[in-house]
Amino acid sequence: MARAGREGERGGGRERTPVRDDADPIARWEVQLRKGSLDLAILASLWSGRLYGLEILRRLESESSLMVPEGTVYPLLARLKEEGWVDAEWVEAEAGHPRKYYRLTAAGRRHLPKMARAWLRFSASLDRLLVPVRAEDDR
Amino acid sequence: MSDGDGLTRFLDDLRARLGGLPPGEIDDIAAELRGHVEERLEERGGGEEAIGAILERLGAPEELAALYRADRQLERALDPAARGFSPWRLVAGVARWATVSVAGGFAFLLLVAGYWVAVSFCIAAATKLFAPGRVGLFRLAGGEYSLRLGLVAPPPAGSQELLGFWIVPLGALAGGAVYWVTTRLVRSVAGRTRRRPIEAAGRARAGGVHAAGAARFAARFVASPWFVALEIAAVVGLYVADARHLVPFSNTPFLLLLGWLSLRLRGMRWRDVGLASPPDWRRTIAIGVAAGLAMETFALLVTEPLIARLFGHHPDISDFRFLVGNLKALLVLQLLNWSLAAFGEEMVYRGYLLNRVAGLGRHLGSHVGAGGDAAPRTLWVGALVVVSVLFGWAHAEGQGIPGMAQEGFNGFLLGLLYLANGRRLAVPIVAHGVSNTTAFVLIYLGRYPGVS
Repeated sequence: MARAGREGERGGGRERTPVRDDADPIARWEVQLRKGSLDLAILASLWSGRLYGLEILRRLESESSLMVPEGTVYPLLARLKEEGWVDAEWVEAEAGHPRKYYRLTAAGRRHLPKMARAWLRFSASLDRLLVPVRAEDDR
Repeated sequence: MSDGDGLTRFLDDLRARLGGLPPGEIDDIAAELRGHVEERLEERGGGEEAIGAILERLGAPEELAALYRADRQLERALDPAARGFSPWRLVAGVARWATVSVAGGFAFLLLVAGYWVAVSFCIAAATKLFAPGRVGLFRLAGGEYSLRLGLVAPPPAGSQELLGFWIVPLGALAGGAVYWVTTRLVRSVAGRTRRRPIEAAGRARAGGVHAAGAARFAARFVASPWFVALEIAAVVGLYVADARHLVPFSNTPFLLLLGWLSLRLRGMRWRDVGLASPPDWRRTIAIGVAAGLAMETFALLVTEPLIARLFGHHPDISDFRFLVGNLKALLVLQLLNWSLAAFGEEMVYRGYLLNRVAGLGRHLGSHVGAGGDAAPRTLWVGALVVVSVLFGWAHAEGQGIPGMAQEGFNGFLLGLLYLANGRRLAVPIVAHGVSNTTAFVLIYLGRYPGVS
């Protein structure tokens, strides 16, 4: 109901793909899952050097199958910057528009390995939990 | 329609929705997103509908704006340059910080205590204007000094007031100074650990992966003996400060705050210790009123005479003598009774302390090997005794040892009511309020033993 109302208000300008509300539960769950791990993914993409927003997006799409809702990346970068894990600077490109490059700060560089360890611990324990489920699924 | 139109409209819309952020930051965001769209456009080529598709992948302006603004609330509250600073926003921001970090908890404690003292000073200054006899810096008969804000009680007998009407400007000044110092202090503390609070506040919402570190530290601290030691020190400190007249008015609000913090840090809410609307209102009120009346009757017919015989005199309620025939005072006192005494004290003594002491007892028992779980009844009764002594002690001032004994006994009864009602606070709250109301009305009528 609420959704229909909101769409009506916007007058059919940009209609979004209806992933969020009425897709099947698995897709919805995956969206949540990605949202929670996106900051880790972004920080990881900056590990080897500075990148600007679109480059980060491209890297996430090419090097992982993370289909990222693009709009969430920029606010998240702003937050990571606010939290002090990344720094940003504007760089004039030869062709056309200036780009805002992000790099890990020293704090971010110390922080990321800890996040990675936490993530691996988490995923390993989940894997262990899922062993019986998958065994049965394969059969 | 030219190529840029859709984009311009999108960015204008976004800018409008980002209203609260600093203008420089909004420009920054707009420039970054414009760059994104233009580069995407070069990548794939196309006109207006291509822009439409790119924007669609970015999401609606309101969603983007919501994401950008989500974590700025606390930050703005702490930013001295932010326009329209309000103490309320600071309190709200730090309160959010307190829910996720121990440091935030202490900052919150500091903030609320400071503001409470500041407000007390201002109230004292204002009260002087229309009830001059009730406020002042008194030099007691023994040579001790006491700053009294006796809204309902007259100044101690045989004391000498030192400030006169100077208390009005001095009180206002002191209030303002304490307010200013508190604000600066909390902001600087928050500013120094700035990354933490914002990170923490953000994490609380997003449930990000980097929750691990700080949260683990907090959890370890809360589980450690240090936390308990600190908590006990805080309670004892409050009692000592109160006994020395250093706590303005009453230590119940501070205990309430401490209880909230302690619960919060252990991942609980008041609801978990029984503060919830009762399943059956009529039954709760009936039991509460009956119990309250019974308590007061019992006090009058049994404890009171017993104590009078034991100590040779009635509990000293001279503090309340002004109440006789004073309807206005009776009404003011009712307000305090139901807020501070009924709700406040029940939450503190039964909700917070009783559960906490019993929990610690269980913990100790299992360590000593006494089988903590084996005797839950003994455990609760033990906790009840400890907390009732504290409750009595809290009422020692002005009511003497006999008053202490009586209040301690009342605390014990209220604790029993709490336990007997499935550890729900509603019944003891009603009983406490009714019992006090009865006593006050009797004093008002001049019918209370020892009052006339």
